[in-house]
Amino acid sequence: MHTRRPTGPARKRTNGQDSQDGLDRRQFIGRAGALAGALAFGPALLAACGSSSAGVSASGKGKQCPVPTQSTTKELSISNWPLYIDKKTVSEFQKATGIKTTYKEDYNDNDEYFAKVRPTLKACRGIGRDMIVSTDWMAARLINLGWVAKLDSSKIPNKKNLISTLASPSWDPNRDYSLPWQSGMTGIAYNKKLVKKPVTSVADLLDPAYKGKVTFLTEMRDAVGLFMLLEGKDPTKATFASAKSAFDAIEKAKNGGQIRRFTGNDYGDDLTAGNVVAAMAWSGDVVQLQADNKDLEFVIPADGGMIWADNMLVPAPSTHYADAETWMNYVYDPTHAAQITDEVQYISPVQGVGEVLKTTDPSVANNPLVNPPASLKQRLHIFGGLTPAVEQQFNARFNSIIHA
Amino acid sequence: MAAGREGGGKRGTWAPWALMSPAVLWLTLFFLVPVYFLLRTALSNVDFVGNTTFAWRWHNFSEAWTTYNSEFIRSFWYGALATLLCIALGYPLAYVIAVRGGRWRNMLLGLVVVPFFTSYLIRTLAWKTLLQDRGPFVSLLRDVHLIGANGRLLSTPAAVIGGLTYNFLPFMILPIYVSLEKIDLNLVAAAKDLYSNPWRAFRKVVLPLSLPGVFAGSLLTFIPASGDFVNASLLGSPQTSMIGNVVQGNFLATVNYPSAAAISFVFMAIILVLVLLYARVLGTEELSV
Repeated sequence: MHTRRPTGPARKRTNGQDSQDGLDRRQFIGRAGALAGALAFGPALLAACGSSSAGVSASGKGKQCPVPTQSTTKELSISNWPLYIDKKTVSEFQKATGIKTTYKEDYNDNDEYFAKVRPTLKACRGIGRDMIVSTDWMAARLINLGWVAKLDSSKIPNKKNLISTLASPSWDPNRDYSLPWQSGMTGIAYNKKLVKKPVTSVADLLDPAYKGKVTFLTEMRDAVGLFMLLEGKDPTKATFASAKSAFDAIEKAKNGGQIRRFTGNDYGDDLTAGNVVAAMAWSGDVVQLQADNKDLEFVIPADGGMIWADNMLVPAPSTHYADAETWMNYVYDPTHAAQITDEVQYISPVQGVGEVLKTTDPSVANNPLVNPPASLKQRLHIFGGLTPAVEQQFNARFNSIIHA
Repeated sequence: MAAGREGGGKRGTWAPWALMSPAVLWLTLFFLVPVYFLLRTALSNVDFVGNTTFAWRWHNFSEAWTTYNSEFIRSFWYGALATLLCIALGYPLAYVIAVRGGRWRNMLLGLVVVPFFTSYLIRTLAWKTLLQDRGPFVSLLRDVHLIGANGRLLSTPAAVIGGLTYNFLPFMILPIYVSLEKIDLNLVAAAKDLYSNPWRAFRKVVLPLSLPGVFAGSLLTFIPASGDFVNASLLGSPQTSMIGNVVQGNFLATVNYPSAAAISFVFMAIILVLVLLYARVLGTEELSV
């Protein structure tokens, strides 16, 4: 405490209720402000909350979480990406199976979702979801960490309908832990009314006329992959050296003010509102966004696009394995899968969907985004697998661009 | 506590401690303990899935500054501008309410606060809609040539600073109002008796007496505004990233907890220095004379 100045006659009270011994009111306001301010450390608090739960342990291959006691009630809670299902499947599934299903579109970005569930899954505690849908590389990571439940294939007879090209990825060769939800392409969506000429290449995103009017994806493999293709590099065999110029190009575009935002699945808002002229985007979304804005177009860049799959995973601490398997079996029925494809217009991983669509909705069946012809397939590339050390290098470089 | 009890019948010796203990407990649990964990995390190593290992890694701190110094500087710059704008907007308003408000005072004060019954996030998202590139407001500005034909407001520093100003304005108005409201207007009358013109009376009497409110309001505005990430992420672009966005990215996307913690520490240290400097210049002690 400070020493108070002597209160001589010069310090007459003005209205009699002020300075008693101790702090007077004005000082109090000042102090209270200083204290409240000092406590409101802003981001510090955010970090403080999580650091205690971050835990301290060595990295490496995680131990499989123990199998929790399974619930007897028929319930299922799913986290999936926005615009990734039709409006009827959930209620029809519920009616057909009696499983009370909660379907949330709260998976916007792989890294973000991982950061959200990491502390809970690491402790083998439930995240309130019995199924999440992660892109290949994230699925590989989660399986490798031991946070994903092993599926009982005998409960999923329709698994036989999985198309052969997606049947045995290196990170889950027998599909013991995962089943693809949809596969899709990364390319460019643009507003044909707002561009000078149709967008055909990633280079068009760098057109000075579109400064501050384009968005890039936070999905590193998509953004870097597209730029590697632009520069004639092969993303299926990406090394930190071969990706260097792609990183540099993205960084240059960011520093030059070309990029309005780096986005997850939320690029749709700015695109439909017309704030953005062109965006790195995912194939099926654009078809659905066209409902809000008819001027949107999707294109696979001339230099090539990326292809990927998102995978249904059951978090190990889930208490509804059986219900999740029932769901997988349900959506692997070609009729049900076709109903989803008809709406989302991604590439279905289920054999026989094309045949069903030919009768129910031929225009979708012939849509090259849903059923890519060989000529298009040739131009699509899968981002190569990265070892943990290299992945860390890639992430550090990419994050220093997009988060700063 | 034990020492207090030995004081025997003298209630007065332990009563202050007893009264303080809830606050002490609160601060220990929710300030000291978190700060300890924060520091521990800031000195750790991390792998790419977010597992941290304590390692006395002081390097994290220097890295935080060298990697993100432009975001640090931008944060304080935006925070300071928003604070100045809040003073410019808030002081006259608080003055009018306090001095001329009459019986409408409470209602006017209520009107200042009412918009803030809506969630912070919703209000900021509303600005995003209002400022859309092809929205009516921006079109109007284009038509009157206040901004260029290809100009925009969204995703610019102006939108971020504007958002910060809007969101923190009441934190400036309320403390200033409280300090203005306490001023005896007879002092102003006395100043006029001594041949002060109104401006001089304001400058020599009202302004100095209200500075503690400005001081408190500035802290309540500047500190959270500098650490804010909502306005920059919704109304800004990658070029308007503030330090809060960096912490958010490190913490909520890339699980680099040590980096996030180290940045937070550097941020706290700078804030502390700035606040102490500010208190030195505009400290309350000087003003109570």
